Amino acid sequence: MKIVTIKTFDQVIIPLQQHDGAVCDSLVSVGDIVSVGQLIGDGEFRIHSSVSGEVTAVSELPHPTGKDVLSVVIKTHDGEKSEIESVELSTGKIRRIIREAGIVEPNGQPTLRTKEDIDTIVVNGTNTWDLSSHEALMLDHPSKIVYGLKALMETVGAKKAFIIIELGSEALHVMRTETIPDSNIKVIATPRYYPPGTENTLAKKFARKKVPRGSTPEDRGVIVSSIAAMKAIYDALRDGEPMIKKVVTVAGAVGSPRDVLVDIGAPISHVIKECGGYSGTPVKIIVNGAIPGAAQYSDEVPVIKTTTGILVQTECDIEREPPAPCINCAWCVDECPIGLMPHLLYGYADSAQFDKCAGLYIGDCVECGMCAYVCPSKLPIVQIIRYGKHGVAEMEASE
Amino acid sequence: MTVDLMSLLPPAIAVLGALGLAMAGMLVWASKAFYVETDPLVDALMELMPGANCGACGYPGCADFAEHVVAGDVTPDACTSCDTETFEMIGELLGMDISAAESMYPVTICQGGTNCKDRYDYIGADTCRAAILLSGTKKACSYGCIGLGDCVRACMFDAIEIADNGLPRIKKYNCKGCGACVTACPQQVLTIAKEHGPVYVVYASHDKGKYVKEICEFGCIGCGICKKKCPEGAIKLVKAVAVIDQEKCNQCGTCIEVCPRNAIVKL
Repeated sequence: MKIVTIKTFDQVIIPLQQHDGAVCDSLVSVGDIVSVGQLIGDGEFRIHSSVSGEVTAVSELPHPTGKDVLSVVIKTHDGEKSEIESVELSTGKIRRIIREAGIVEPNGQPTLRTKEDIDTIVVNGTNTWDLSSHEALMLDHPSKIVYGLKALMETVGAKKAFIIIELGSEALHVMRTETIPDSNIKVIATPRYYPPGTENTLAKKFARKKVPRGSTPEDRGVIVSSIAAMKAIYDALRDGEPMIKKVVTVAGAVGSPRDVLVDIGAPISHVIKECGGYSGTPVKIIVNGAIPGAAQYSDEVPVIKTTTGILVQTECDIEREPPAPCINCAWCVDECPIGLMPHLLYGYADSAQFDKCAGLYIGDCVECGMCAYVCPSKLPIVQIIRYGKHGVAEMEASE
Repeated sequence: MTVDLMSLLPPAIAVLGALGLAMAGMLVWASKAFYVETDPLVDALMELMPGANCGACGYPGCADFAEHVVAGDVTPDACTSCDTETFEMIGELLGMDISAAESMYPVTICQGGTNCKDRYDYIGADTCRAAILLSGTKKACSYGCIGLGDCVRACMFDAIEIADNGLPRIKKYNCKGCGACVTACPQQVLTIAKEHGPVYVVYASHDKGKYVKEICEFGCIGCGICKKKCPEGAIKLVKAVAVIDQEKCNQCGTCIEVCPRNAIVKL
């Protein structure tokens, strides 16, 4: 077993926004007793309690994205494990179960968005953002992942599926062995590169369906999903367990870096303590990988459904250089996986010319962080592009 | 064949001279024919205007403002950048009493800066607006000045700077009172005020009183003592922060004396 299960912490913080979209409504109030898997938040997505215990607070608390988000704080009781009913399967039901289990892809999107005819499913098994949680899941639970994938294929009526795995990964062999009986599931090896791909580029590259600007892969009959979602679908179908646990890679300056299975809502400090604690003085804690991730100002933020990894850096890992003016070298243009022009977007967003940002398709940016990584002037390009996106959204709202 | 250059000089002078005279004649005619009548009063007023073209009055520039003042559409005290002497002179010129008019300046209503603790080390873009999107603010107080200088960049007259205490400082000799910094500030810690007007400002943080006490020396904790003591009843509590009704206030200064947090000051 590669994945180590971390024991439940005595207090969890479950944010009511663990996806792209509006904050869910809280269904519990202070003093309520909740049990494992109980629905505590409903809205665009469903959010369940990951522990049994007593709700001690419902308030705005720090969130990995940086904002303060309405969260439910639950003090764990000992013992008392609620019964989770297993359900009978039928294709009509699976769709509902996937929604009710509150499954969220690592990019914050739902697995199933439309009811269109789906032809192909692409499962991204690359070690997204430099972290190894996908590989660990495939090594530990290959049959569960294939089960989840088959269930999803049956539900949407997909004829074929691809599992994308990096060349040289141990999981490649395991998954190939596992999928031998299924002629319609193909395991594809791809060279190791960053970023491994966005929904649209993966659909184009592996399913051979070009996704035009402004539409999603679903419109072309392709679902792009991830290994973590497949495992979550298995858990929901076979064990009736909603998405209340998450495999997270803990890396960097910690005692024993590894992949761990964590209850949603466990504070990062607890996860790190269970992984041997900090080695050296932590300077930066980055959630979701070194390049695209967000540095946290507190280690009390919880693990949420979209968390894939926690990276701890010490002073010697960090290079701080003051930004210099843009020299129009266009390295960022070469590196952009979407084909945008980050240096122009930076300039326009910085000078608040949001109409020009919109004209250069700022909304297509996936914030992978490559432009800021290669920038010789060390400009905070992603941060300014994010500001530009916000400005464009405000501009469109006021029109 | 040789050409005597000297012999060519007189005809050249004659031709160019005649051309010049003809052109000069055309210019003289054009200046008479297309002469635009201007009001001498507008010209005289323009002489007195500061010429900053800041746009605070709501007109594109000082010239347009002067025209509208003379036409009677607007009173001269709409200008924020004239000082008291200039207003007197304009009053004399136009024959109206505008002695009450004063120049306006932005005032910082946050005393945080370096007095306020940072929540984290911020490394990133040097704009307040982008920093707010990242995670609220880098300061412990989410209502205070961030000090990354959006106001400095918005100022057209180099009249504002971030001082050593991490707060904006207004250089009065450059300031035109146009209010560009007030609009640019995402935290609304700048407000525009009359130069000599007694303004009472509350250092307002809507956080809980206990938390405000921890992080800030000055912030209002919403204790309500000023509300009880105000003889005019001009103070009310909005979202646990004292707000002064400037119309009812008679500037007696009682609230300044009773405030346990020194959150109310006379500027």
